[in-house]
Amino acid sequence: MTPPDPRPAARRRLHIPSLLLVLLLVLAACSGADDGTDTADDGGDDTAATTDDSADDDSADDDSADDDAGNDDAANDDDSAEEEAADDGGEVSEAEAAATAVYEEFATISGEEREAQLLQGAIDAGGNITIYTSNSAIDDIIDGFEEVYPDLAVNTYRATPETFLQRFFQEQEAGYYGVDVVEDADVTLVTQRGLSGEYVNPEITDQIRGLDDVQGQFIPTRMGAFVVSWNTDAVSDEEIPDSILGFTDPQWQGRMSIADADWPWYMTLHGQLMEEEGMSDEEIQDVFRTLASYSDIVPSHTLQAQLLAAGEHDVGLTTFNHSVDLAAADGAPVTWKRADGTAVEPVVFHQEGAVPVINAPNPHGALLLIDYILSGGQAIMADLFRPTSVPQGEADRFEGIEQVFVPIDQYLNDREDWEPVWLDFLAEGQPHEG
Amino acid sequence: MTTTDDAAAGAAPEGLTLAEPALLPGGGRPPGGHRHWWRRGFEVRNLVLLLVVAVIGYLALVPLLYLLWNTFFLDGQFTLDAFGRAYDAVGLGEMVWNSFVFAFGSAVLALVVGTALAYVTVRTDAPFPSLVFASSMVPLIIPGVLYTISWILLGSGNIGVVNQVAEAIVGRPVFNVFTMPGMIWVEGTHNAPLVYLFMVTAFRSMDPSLEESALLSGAARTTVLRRVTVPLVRPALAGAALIMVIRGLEGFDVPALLGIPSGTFVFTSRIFYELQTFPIDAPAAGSLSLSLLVLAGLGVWLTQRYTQDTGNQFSTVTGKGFRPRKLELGRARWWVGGLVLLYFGVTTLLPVGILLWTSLLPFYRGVSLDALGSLGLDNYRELFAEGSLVDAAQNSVVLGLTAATAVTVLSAIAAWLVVRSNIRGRKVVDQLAFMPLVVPGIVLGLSISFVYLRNPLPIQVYGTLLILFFAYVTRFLPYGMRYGVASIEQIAGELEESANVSGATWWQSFRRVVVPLIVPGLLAGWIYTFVISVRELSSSILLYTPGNEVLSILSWQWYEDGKLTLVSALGVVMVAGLTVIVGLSYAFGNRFGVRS
Repeated sequence: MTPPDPRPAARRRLHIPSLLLVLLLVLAACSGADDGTDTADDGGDDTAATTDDSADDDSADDDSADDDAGNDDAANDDDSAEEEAADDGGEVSEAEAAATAVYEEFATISGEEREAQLLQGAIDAGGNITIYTSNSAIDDIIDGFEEVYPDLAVNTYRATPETFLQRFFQEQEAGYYGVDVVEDADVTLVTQRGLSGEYVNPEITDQIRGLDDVQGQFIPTRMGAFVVSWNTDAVSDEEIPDSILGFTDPQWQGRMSIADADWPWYMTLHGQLMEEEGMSDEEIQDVFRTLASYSDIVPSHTLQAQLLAAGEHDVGLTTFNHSVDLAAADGAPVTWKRADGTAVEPVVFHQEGAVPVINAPNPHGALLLIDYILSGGQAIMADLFRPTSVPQGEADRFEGIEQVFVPIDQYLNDREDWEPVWLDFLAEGQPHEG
Repeated sequence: MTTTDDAAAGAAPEGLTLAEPALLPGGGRPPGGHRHWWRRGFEVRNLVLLLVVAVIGYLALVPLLYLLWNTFFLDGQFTLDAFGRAYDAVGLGEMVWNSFVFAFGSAVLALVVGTALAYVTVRTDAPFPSLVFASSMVPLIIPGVLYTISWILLGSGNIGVVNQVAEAIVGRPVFNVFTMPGMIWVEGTHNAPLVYLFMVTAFRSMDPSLEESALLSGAARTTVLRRVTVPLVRPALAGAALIMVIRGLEGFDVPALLGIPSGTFVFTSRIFYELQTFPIDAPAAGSLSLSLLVLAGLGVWLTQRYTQDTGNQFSTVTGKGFRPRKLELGRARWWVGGLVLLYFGVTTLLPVGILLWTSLLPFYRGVSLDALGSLGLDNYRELFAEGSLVDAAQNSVVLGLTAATAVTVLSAIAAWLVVRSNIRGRKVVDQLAFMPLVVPGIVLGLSISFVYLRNPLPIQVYGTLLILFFAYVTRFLPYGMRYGVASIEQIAGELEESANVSGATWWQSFRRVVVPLIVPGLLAGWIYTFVISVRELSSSILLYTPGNEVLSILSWQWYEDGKLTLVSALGVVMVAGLTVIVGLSYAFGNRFGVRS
C-alpha cells in the first residue's frame, strides 16, 4: 500500500488560480499583439478610404500613407528601425522624395547617356532591383537583363495579380518600401493610389501600340491575346467560322471551352459587335449565353490549352495565343491560325504594363529595368509567342489580323456591370457531359 | 481522476518503461505538500503549459482577430455588410445543398475507406500490408491539383482512359468524373489517408482482449465490430470526421476543376471568386469562413461531449499489459486481399501511372498508342537542369521537418492539457487550436504578413523563411491537435498517476510515460503535417520572398507557364521522395514506440 499522497489533490486546488493567471497572461499577450493588428487595420481602412478619395484628390494618398506609417511607428517604436525606409511622419517620405527626384531627372535624358547613368545609379543603390509581377515570361526576361547588366541582380516575386497587389499594398501601408517595379494589367490600381512614379522615355514609348488606350495608367509592356483555337485532329481549317458568331451553330454544342474569368473578353466583343455588326444588347447576350451553354467552363487558361491539346475539347473560345503556340511548338495538334494565316476575328488584346514605384529603393534600377523590358525584353517575349507592346516586325504573329483592345476605362470602372452578367451566362449554360 | 490504491499498486505494467527509481529526485520531496501555491505555480509543468497555451493562443488569435476585424469593421464602424455580400452571392438553396452533399459525401467515403484500410492492416492478417500502406499514403502526397487532373485524364467522358477501356468492353462509358459522385470520389480518396493515419493509431493502441471476450461470449464478428471495436475508437473517429467535413466544405481543387465545368457550384467556389479579384474581398470571404467557424466550433464541442462525457471509457491503454493480436480472416483473407489490390490499383497505381505517363510526354495528351512514340525523359532533364529546384526542395524539406515537429510538440502538450488535466478553461485551448482550420490559406497569409510587417518579435521574420514556418505551424496546428487529443484519450490516467505516486515529476511522467505511449499517434500527425506542409500553396504564395521559393511555388509557376508535363515530372519526383521520407520516419519513429 502506498500512503495516500495528498499532492494531486493539493495541486488541483492550487492550479485553478494559476491557470486563470495563465489565461489572463495569454489574453494580455495576444491582445498586445492585436494592438498591433488593430492599428494596422486602421491603416488598412485609411487606405480603403483613400481609394475612394483618390478619385477626387490625389494628394490624399500621400497623407494617408503617412498616417499609416505614423500609426505603425506608434504601435512599434522598438521595431520601426527594422523597417526599411520607415516614414518619419513628414509630408513625403524620404524614399519617395529621392525616387521622385530621380524620375524627374531622367524624364529628359535619353539614349546612351540615360543607360549609362541609370546603370551607375542602380549600382550605387546597391545593385539589387525588385519586381513584383504576374508575367510568366519574367524569368527569361530577367536572365536577359542580368546578362546585359552583370553588375545588377533582380529579385522577382511572381504571383497572381490579386495576390501580389495585396502584398504590395500591405507592405506600403506598413511603410515597408522594398519594391522598384510592379507589372501587370491591374497596376492601374497602383497608379490610382498615387503609388506609381513617372516614366518618361518617348524614344521607346512612341513605338508602343495602343499607348493612348491605357490613358497614362501604366506603360504597356505586353498583352494577353484572346484567340479562338482548335484541335487540328478534331476540326479542319475549313470548318472553323470566320467570326465568333459562327460558333452558335448547334454543331459546336459540347465541343468547346471557355475560361471562367473572361468577362473582359465578353465586354470587348460586346462593344465590337454593337459597333461593327449593329447588333442589339439583347442579341449579343443571346450569342454569349448560347456560347456558354455549348461550352465547358474551365478555371484557368493554362488548363484550357492543355485540355485542348489532350483532345478533351475541340475548340477553345478564349485561349491565350501563347499557351496554344507553346503547346504547338511541343508538337501538340493545336492552332489558332488556319494554314493560310487567317484566324477567327477579331483577336482581343488585353494590355498589361509596368510602373516604377514611387518610393522605390532603387529608382535608377526601376527605370533601367523598364527600359529593358521595352527593348530587349520585347524580343524575348516574342520568342515565347507573347504578343508584345512594341511590334516586333516579322516576328509579329498578329500582322493583318483584326485586333481590338479591352477598353481600359471600362475594365477599371465597369466591372460590376459586366462580371455578374458573364457569371450568369456561365451558370445558365448547362453542362453537356453525361 | 481519483488515485485509488488499486491503481497505484497495480501500476507496473509489463513492457512499459517507467521512470527508474534512481532517477527520481521527486522521491526526496516531502509528501506533505506544504509548499506555497505561488512556488508551485512556477513548477516546470506550469511554465511549460503556460508557454504552450501562450504560443497556441498567439498563433490562433492572430488570423482570427484579423478575420473578425476585417469582417465586422469598416472604417472603424461595426457592419454586417460583408455577410450580405457573401450570402447574396452564394444564394441559398442549391449551392449550399451542393456543398453539404459534397462535404458529407466525401467525408463518409474517406472515413469508411480510411477506417477499413487501417483495420485491415493493423488488426487482421490480410495480405499485402505494404500495398495498403502505399495506397493510403500516396494519394496524400500527390498535390491536389495533380491528383484531380489525373482523374480528369482517367475519368472524363471524352478522353478518360477508364472510359475508353469501358467503351471497348461494355460499349459505353462507365464513370464520369465531372459529376457530384465523381467529385466525391476524388475528394474522398484524396482525404482517406488522413483518416487512415488516425485510425491506424487508434487500432494499434486497442486492447484486443476486449474483442476476444466478446467473441468468447458468443458474439458474432460483425457484432463485435459494431458493438466493441468501433465504439472504442470513437475519439479518433470523431476527430477524423470533424476534420473531414470541414475540409470537404473548404476543399477547393476538386470543386474548381470538376465542379465548375459541370455547373456544380459549391460554397468554396464562391470564396474562391471573392479571393480571386482585387481588392481581395477578405470581408466577404471572411464572413463565409466565420460561418464555417461556427460549424467547426459546434463540431469540436460536440466531439468533446461525445467522447468525454463518460470519463475514461476510451482509455484502451491501461495499466494492464496486452499483446495486440491479429484477427485471422480464414477464407475471407483472399477476398480482403483482392479488395486491397483493387483499391491499391484504383487509387494509387492509376493516378500515379497517369502522372508518370504525363511526365514522359512532350505535351499533355490522353493515353493512346499514338502517344507511345513521343514518350521520353525530356521533362526530367529539364527538371533537374532547373537551378532553382535544389534550393526549393531544400527549403520545402527544412520547413516541412521543422513545422511538423513544432506542431507535434505543441499539440502533444496542449492535448495533455485538454484531455488529462482538470484545469479550468482547458477546453478553450482545444477550440482555439482548431480555429485556423477554417481560415482560408490566403487570408491566413494576409493576417500573418500584416503582423510581421509590424514585427512584434525581436527577430526579423518578414522576408525570411521563418514567416512560412509561422504560417505552416498555424495552418496545421488543428490537425496536430486532433492527432494529439485522439491519442491521449486512449491512455488511461492511471499510468501517469502511478508514475506520480512513485515520485516522478510531471515532466518526467509526461516524457517517460505519456510520450512513449502516444508516439504512434504523434508520428502519424507528424507525417501528415510534414506532407501537407510540403504541398502548401495558398499561404506560401503570398509570403515567400524571391530566393526563398519552395516546391509548391515552383510547381505553381510551371503550371501557370503551361508546363503541365514538367509539373507532372516534379509530381513524380515528389511522390518518390516523400514516400522515402515517410517510410524512413515510420521506421525511425516505430523504434521509439512502446510496443512496436
